[in-house]
Amino acid sequence: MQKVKTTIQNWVKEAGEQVCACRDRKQGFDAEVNALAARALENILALPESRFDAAGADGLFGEKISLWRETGARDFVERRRPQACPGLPRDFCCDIEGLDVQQVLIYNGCVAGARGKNLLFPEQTAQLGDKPCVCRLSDLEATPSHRAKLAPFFEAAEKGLHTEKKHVSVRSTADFAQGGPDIGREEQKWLNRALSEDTLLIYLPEGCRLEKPLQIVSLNHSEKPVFVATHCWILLEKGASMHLVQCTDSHPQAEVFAEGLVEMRLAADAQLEYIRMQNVGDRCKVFHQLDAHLERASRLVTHFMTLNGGLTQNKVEINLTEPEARADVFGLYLQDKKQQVSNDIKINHTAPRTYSRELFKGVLDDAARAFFKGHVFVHPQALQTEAYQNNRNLLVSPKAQANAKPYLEIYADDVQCNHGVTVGQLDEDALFYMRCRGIPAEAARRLLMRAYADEILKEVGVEALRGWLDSLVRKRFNGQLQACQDCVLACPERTC
Amino acid sequence: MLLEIKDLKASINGKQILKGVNLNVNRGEIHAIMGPNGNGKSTLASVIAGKEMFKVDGGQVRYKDKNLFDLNVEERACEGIFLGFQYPVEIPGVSITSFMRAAVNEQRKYKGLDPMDAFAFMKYMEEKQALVGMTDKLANRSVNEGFSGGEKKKNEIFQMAMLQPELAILDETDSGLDIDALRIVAGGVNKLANKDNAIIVITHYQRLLDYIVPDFVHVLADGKIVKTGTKELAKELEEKGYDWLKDHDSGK
Ligand SMILES: Nc1ncnc2c1ncn2[C@@H]1O[C@H](COP(=O)(O)OP(=O)(O)OP(=O)(O)O)[C@@H](O)[C@H]1O
Ligand SMILES: [Mg+2]
Repeated sequence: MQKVKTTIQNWVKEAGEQVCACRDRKQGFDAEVNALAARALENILALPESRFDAAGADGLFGEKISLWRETGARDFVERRRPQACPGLPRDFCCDIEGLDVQQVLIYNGCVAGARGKNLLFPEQTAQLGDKPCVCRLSDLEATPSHRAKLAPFFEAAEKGLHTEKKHVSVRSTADFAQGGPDIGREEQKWLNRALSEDTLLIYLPEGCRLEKPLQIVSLNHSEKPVFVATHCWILLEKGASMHLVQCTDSHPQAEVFAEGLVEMRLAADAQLEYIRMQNVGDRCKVFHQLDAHLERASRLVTHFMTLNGGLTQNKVEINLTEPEARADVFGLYLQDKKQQVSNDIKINHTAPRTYSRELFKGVLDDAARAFFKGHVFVHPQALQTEAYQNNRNLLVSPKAQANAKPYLEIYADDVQCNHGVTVGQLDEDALFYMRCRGIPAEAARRLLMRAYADEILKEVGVEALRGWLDSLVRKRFNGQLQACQDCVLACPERTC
Repeated sequence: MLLEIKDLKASINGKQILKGVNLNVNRGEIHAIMGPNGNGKSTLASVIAGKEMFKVDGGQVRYKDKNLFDLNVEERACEGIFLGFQYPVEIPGVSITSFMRAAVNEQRKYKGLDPMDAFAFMKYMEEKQALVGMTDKLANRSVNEGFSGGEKKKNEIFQMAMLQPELAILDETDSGLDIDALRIVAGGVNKLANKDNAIIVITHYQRLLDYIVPDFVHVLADGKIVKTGTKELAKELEEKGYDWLKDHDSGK
């Protein structure tokens, strides 16, 4: 138990030292960044002892769910933090064919690119003004206007000290705290804030429409077991819009535990399409969290694309805090061997006329397992809310397993909500029909699986992105594990 | 001989359906199979196509001088056997175009040919669409999904045109077609028929045989071919029904 605590403490210290070594500026948000980490650590250390118990049923790494038992604290303490600000593999590139994107690279949790600059326009200084900006939080000058813009993020990070008593009471209501903070989510956020070196900031000013999609590539590579945390803030001002693709990739042989937290705020009328691509080796674990706040008539469309990975967890919380806010949450997971995936989606409707739609589809082969937990909360004031939740699974092998726990918690009248879960197999009649036309059984199976995935892919807004995802999905079904073919990471004989 | 069926017996879930079918089909011939509902016509077609659900209990089927049962479903298709389904299957999410591209190219691969390039394929497809009067709109939809009964049958003939089989078995392709569609579809089949291939049409209606004129008409009843004749037999059946055959048989 003590070991988990000291590991976290040591890593926070290490991360802090690395950050200081990298920075040469004095005016930045360094103090706040450090305070944020310190606060998070404080919160973690105040957790009940049982949360640090690797053998117990109730651990910090979700040991309660048998699915995660093997990722537990025991695995965690045996890891290392990766080297400080490592160089990128020199010939790394990640082209999305036929698509012009702007790219930001994060290598083993460390943001690449010039210090103090706007990574979108390298000649400009990082600042949250009238231009879009992507930068490290520590590169931003700590001016009053910057502080004001980022205040909601800092406030969220300040919150959440739970006493032991509170903690227990939260858990006793079957994980669901009537729309209040969920301890399981909170503690994972703290862990991320405490252990990530820096925060990547994505900012769009009022009315700004970013034409080119932005791609954030989180590259993870280590042959020794490491723990990598990345933290990201996204702020879209009134009426701003963009397409964001965030890819988490690794070498097929890598042993990385990639923990990621994305916090986003969409002001009125803002629009964000957010694609989360997870395509890592079988020995990697990915724990991703998304926390979003949507203001009046803003719109968020997310796609969680879990193409490959030993163990993947998506924890999503979307708060529709003002009228007409709208979220579409799509997910596609393609798992085989002994891979496991969990999607845990919570949507809080706290204002009238808000809308949410969830559609998660999965194809599970071999002995793969999937877990879906969807929780829709409708506040008494959230009248005329619409919420749809759907999880569908295709089991293509007798050993594959899907578990689903849909949950609607509705305190308002005059709402439209529904949920559904299906678990099915490939249509034997369709297979026979296709084989009758000369298509071999294996190819026919793949065609059907792709068709199944298509319902999610067709929701992707940018055509070129859709084509790119489609080709990745196709390759995945063709048995090409690491789908990014041209990437240096995809050729095991090459060492980065 | 293209197809030679000898004393074929087949069952499903222990229930015997085919009880000794004998049938010979040569290239260049058109055969019609008629017979009362539930007597094994579709079963015969499924067994030839290779549906594993049916168990072959006895007899022989030779196709192009090979033992048909040595080939799996897709190999039979690649060897030129085409089954036009009585109830075509819906495949949500797979467009007719991608379905046919896969089928055509898989069959080409089997024959050692390179896949058709996208441009040539589109041209080829347009040509065959015209043959059965299929619109582009339909071709871009998912296979049979939400198609009307007649559209599904047109789609079967379209696929036959695309794949140019050596042996086509059309199971009640005429049912559900309106008068114009029947003429178009039958016209399509006639254009596809030549001296190197053979067609077996399964039908309940003599009307189809006015358009697709068969060389032989067979009656399949109670799992056997009980009578074979010319197209005149179809006319006789239309007038007298099948009971007459039973009487005829039992009177024998
Ligand atoms: N999957 C199945 N399970 C059980 N019985 C079946 C199955 N498929 C067919 N049969 C039975 O086999 C028999 C023959 O059916 P088949 O479809 O071959 O008849 P058919 O001559 O084509 O009839 P129709 O003219 O109505 O199309 C019927 O009694 C039918 O109920
Ligand atoms: Mg039939």
